[in-house]
Formats: sequence, C-alpha cells, structure tokens
Amino acid sequence: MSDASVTLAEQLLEARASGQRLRVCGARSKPWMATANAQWLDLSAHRGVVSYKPAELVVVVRAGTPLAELDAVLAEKNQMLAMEAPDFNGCSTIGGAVALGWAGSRGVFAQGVRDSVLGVRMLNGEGELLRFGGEVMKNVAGFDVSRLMVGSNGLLGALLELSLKVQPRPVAEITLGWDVPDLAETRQRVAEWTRRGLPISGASLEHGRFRARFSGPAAVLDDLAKTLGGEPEDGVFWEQLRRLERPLFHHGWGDEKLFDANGQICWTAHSRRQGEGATVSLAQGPDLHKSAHRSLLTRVASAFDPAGVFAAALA
Amino acid sequence: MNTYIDPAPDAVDRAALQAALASVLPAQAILAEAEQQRPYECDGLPTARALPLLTVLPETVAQVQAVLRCCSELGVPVVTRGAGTGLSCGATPLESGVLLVTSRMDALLSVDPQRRTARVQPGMRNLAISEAVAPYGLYYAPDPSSQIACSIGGNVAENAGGVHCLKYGLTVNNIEALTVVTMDGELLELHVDDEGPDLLAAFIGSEGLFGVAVEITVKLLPVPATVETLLVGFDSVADCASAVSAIIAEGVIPAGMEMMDRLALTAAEAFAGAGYPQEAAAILLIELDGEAALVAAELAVVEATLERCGATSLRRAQDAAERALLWKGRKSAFPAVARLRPDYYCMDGTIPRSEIGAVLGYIAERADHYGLSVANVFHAGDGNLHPLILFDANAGELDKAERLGADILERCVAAGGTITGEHGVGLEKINQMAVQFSDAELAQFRRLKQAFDPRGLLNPGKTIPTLRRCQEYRAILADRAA
Repeated sequence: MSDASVTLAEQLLEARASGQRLRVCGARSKPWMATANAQWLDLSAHRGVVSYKPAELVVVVRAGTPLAELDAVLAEKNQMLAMEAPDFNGCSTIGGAVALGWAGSRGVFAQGVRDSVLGVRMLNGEGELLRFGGEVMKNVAGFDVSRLMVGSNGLLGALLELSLKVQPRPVAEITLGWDVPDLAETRQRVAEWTRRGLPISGASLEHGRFRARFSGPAAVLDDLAKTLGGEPEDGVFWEQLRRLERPLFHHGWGDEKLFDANGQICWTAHSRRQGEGATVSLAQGPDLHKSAHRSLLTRVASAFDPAGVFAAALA
Repeated sequence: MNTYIDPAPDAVDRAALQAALASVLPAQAILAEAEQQRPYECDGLPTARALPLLTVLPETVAQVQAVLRCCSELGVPVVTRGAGTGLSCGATPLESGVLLVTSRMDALLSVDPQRRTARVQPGMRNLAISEAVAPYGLYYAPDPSSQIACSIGGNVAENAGGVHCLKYGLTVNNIEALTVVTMDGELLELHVDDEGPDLLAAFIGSEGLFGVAVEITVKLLPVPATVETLLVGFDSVADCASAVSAIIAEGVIPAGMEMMDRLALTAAEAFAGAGYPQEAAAILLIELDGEAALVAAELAVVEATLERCGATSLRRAQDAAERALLWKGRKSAFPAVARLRPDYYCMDGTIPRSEIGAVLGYIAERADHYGLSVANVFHAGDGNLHPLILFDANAGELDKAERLGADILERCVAAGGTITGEHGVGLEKINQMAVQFSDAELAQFRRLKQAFDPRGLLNPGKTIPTLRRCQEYRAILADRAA
C-alpha cells in the first residue's frame, strides 16, 4: 500500500525537461512489451486499494495493484470485476489491464473494460495530476476522458488510480464441454443461448473441444446442464486461459489456434526447439481493429502530451 | 439557466452564407425566415433562447458534409440539434451561427439480427428503433423518459440514460460504431474495437462539440423472456433509500429501480391513476427481467429484502397491462408534477447511493429556506437524482429556483457525486463545471476539444467554461461563503 504519485510526477517532469521519452509500465507482463525504445515510468510501486464500498459496487484502486490482489479483496465481499482481464504471468496490474482494454473470457458476454471504468486519476504529459469521472454510476460532466484512457496503452499519460464498477459474484458456475467441428458451430450455439437469455459467461474452442461456462443460481444451472447436455468440465480451465497456462502456450501446436471470448480472441503458439517452449502470438485480438484516423489520434495525443514524452507508445 | 454569453465571432455576412448554403442544399432544407426558425429557438430547457442566422435540415450525409465545409470556410459556428428534447440548453442556437437539424435523417439503414446490431440515421427516434427491431425479438435498451420524441443522435451527443441504466448502462455502453462528420466536412469512422484510446467513448456525450454523428450502429438486446415489476411503499424516505442499497448489497442488480417521494407520487397518481399508495412517504418501482428461472430467484431475494427494510406495501404487476400502468405513473411524473405550479426546473445530480437519504434531507431544508417546493422522482438504483423545483417565474421566483438548483448541484459534488448524471452540461450547468473540475482539468478538456475541432466552431460556448468564467464564478461562491 503506497502512494507514489508525487515521485512519478517528478520523474515525468525530469524526463520532459531532458527530452527523454517514457513508456508507462506496471508488471511488464505483456509478451509484446518486452522491449521499448524508451525509459520506463514504472507504476508497480504505486499500489493498493484506496477505498472499497461493496454496497455502492465501487472500488478505487491504484494502478500498480496486481489483478490477483484486487480480485482477492473483492472476493472477500463476494464481488468481482465484470471484466476478466488477462493476467499474463500472474502479476499483471489493474492499470495495465485498463490500458490494454481487454475484457477477456467473461467480458464479451457481460461488459467491456470501458463499461467498468467510472473514473480515473492520471498524470498527463505535462506532469499535471488530473481527475476525471468519479465514483458514481452515471456522470456526464465534461468529456469522457476516463473511458478515452481505456486501450490507450500509455499514449495519453499514466493512469494512477481507477474507480471501477464491481458486481456480485455469481452464486454458482458450471463449465460444460462438447466436441465440435469448428468455430462456426460454437458461435451458432452461443447465439442461440444468448437469444434465449441463458446466463453464458465463457465460450472457448481449444483443439476441437468447445467449452462453455454459465453463471447463476445453482438450481438454474443444474437444470441447464440437464437440458443442454455436454460433459461437466473443470472451471479451472478459465483461470488457466487467463494466465496463458494451457498446454498450447508451453509447447505449441503448429498451426492450431485457441479461440477465447466466442472467437474474438485467437491465440497461436509455434513450437521452438524441444525444451525451449513456444512462441505465443496473438493471431487476432479485440484491440487489433486498425483505426483509420491516425491524424486525429495524433492530435488527441498532443492534447494530453504536447511535448511527446509518451509518443513512443504510438510507434 | 446561466446568463448566456455569445462567443461573438467575427461578423458573418448572412447573405453570403445563405448563397453558399443554397448552392449545396435543396431550397426546402434551408429555413431563413424568423417565423420558420421560431420552433428551433430553444431545446427542452426553454430558459435560453436565440434565433440563428439560418436553420438547415440536411437529408443526406453528403449534405451534412457540404454544410460543415461551407461553414468552416466562412468561419461560421454550427450548433447541431436532434429532436430538441435536451434539458441543459445544449442545442440552444447561436445568433451568429447556423443551426443544423438532423430530424429529416431518420431512417433505419439496416438490422443485423445475428450480431444484434442496427445501423440508423441520427434523427431516428429512440423508441422507433425498438419498434423497428421488435419483429426480430430485439430492442434498444437505453430509454430516456422522452424516448417517444428524442432522437438517437441527441442521445449520442448527451450520453443519455433512462430508467433501465442500472443493468444495461447508458448510451455509451450500447453503441458499437459511429460515422461522424468533422467540422471540415471529413468523414470519420469510430468503432468500439478500434485500436488505441477509446475515441468512440470520448465522442459519446461530447454535446456536439466534436462532430456530427450521421450514422449510428446501436447494440440491441433480446427482449427478456420474463419481466416482473414491483410497486413498494415505505413510511419514510430514509427506509426507502436504505432498501435501495440493501437490494444491491444482496447481489441483485434490477433492470430498474425508481424512487418517488410523496409530492411526486401524489401528483403522478392524480395524473395517471396507477394505484400508487397515497399514504406512503415514498415508493419504489423495481423491475427484474431476464430468463424465467433467474428472475424467479432474484424476485425471492428482493421480496425478502424489502420486508426486512420495512416496506409497508408491496404490489406485483400480474400482467403486461398492469406493468404498463405502474410505469405510466413514473413516466408521466414530470408533466404531472408540472401541473402543480406554473414552472418547474429539473435537476440531474448523481451521488453515491448511500448518500441519498442525507442529500434528500438537505434538498428539503434548502427548499424551505427559499420557500419553494421540490418533488423527487429519480433513478435511485444509479443514485441519479432528479429534484423538480416548482416555482412561478411571473412571481419573480426564477432567481430563487436557480439558486436552489445551484445549491443542490454543489451539494452533489460535495457528497462525492457529479453535477450531471445524464442531461449534460450545455449552458445550464456551465458554472458548476468550475466547482467540479480544476483549472488544469478544464484546460485539458479544452485541448481535447481542439483536437477534434481546432477552430472551435462546433457548439462554442457550451459544456466547457472559459477560464475567466470559472474565476468569476468561484469569486461569487467565495463571496457568498464569506
């Protein structure tokens, strides 16, 4: 539990004065963040839950707090984040999760990361400490900078603190498995279940095995298991997926793909030489939709960071 | 409600502007006479009015582009207006500007039932979308009280809410993509899955300061299989407020949870005859929806919680007709209350749910101080207050009503809340922006605005106050406190 915001602002201003570029980082857990042509502005010491009001469904947390730590605090009150952000090496931070903007296995059926973000405290490129949004459910005062920050990957400044909407944990969950021919088949089933209002909360296809997760009251899930058929599976699968701990990620399956989030996220892993593990890569992810408005993006970045301290994030 | 300061740009040659617009628009798309433009002089908050230089009603995306290009070249500011139901003077015209009305672009362009989306034009009415996609078993969730009349383009500009936000979110949570025309007439596509900062989310709720949305892809939801609506009475406002928090603490997120105090429920009952309990100090309307077994499980939890929280009456709608009647009382509450006094002024602060009781107490106290009545009918589940201040402008009460309104908004900020939950800032709450935000934050807003609209021609003077205005207002507050 410590507040490093003053130190971080000083570090930023020093870098700005000397023309040094910075990259914001938390746990540096994202495989593609391994190298960067800049110095790190390291948020990992800025951590801890600032306030948590379970009856308000709101938690305020410093950006460097590990997801696992936040999850544990929420679990004590039988709550959780609506998103199931990837926890690549078991120490990913909440700030990194929001900056990435992936909602993971559950997100596609519930809500995206931006739907959980109620407010932020941040440092812009000028080293100014700013607060946008807040801790209430509805807030349209001024422009929606809090949600603008989702997916910004450190381009607009450093997220210091987040107020997030939380939700009750489901009373129970089941995972059912089927062997299916392809992704089209899984999507068709998911569409049908969604139309019927079934409480689906995960859909993944790995090596011809389709796994679907449902969340809700135990009695409802028992009935569902009977009507839908399928074989009961271990729910730990989703935790492994979130941490990239499925066998695919360790030794690779050639051209085989692993689909998560009803096909929105697709992983591949190519074998290296024996004993060296696999190269994990993302064939398709929710943030890979290339936007066609680079000039606007550049102007928005300059609005937050006129000196270009964080411009390396745009490269 | 604040004095309107026209940013007074360079004088515009009206004849030259009209000639330029006539070369890109059909004759029927330009309104130049004062009597033609009169219906557009204000939005749903009629305290600020102005007649623009010209009003244009384009019918195609290309015409919108041409209008903006033309105004851009001549340096003429543009205010965009949908159906004009907004409640914060966001669409008040500029005397020195063009008013761009989207109401003729009201078509449903396409529906994708598999992906559950629909692409619509900005002038399409909110309720018309749900009606159009009903044959597919789908609907559009955000439902502002004005949903019969308000347009989806205006909903996007204001990030409109409604009574079902608690479970389904605001406009921003229900839009997949926008096609936007920028002030220089260029087209911009914004999508929820775009790489990088969430520009789509930033555009939604930008109150016409960033661009004009000309095509909107909305997310649709399956019409729920089961809906249960409860009408619950309480002996005290405090019990009612604590029941709201208790239900959520039990792990149930109702589709909607609306609260009305005695003045509001009495007026609504006289207007709609919905059978609201007249002896109650406050009522809650609670709606649960979804798959039958899930709703049944939630209903059991909610009923037990209500009993524990001291509910004095509980009625469950038996069929769709009864459900509609219970909601009719709520949806007509504003006009019903409006009948009590010549004028009313609707506020829109949001606070943490646990502060509802305390803030309602403060509102009653301040209303007494000014000698005014306030009726409360609001989205309790979201903590989004809508105090209706009743007054008589002809009896010189407007100033008192505005003062009371400002007190309420500033109390919302002090309670950890915000000056606007869903109505927007517009002109109405521009002074209170200086209370909620620091100079550095307001300067950041201005720079973000410039990134979208470098010359500041889109809806100038709204939403983000000038530095000078902030300093003046803070000085007034300091004087009052001294």
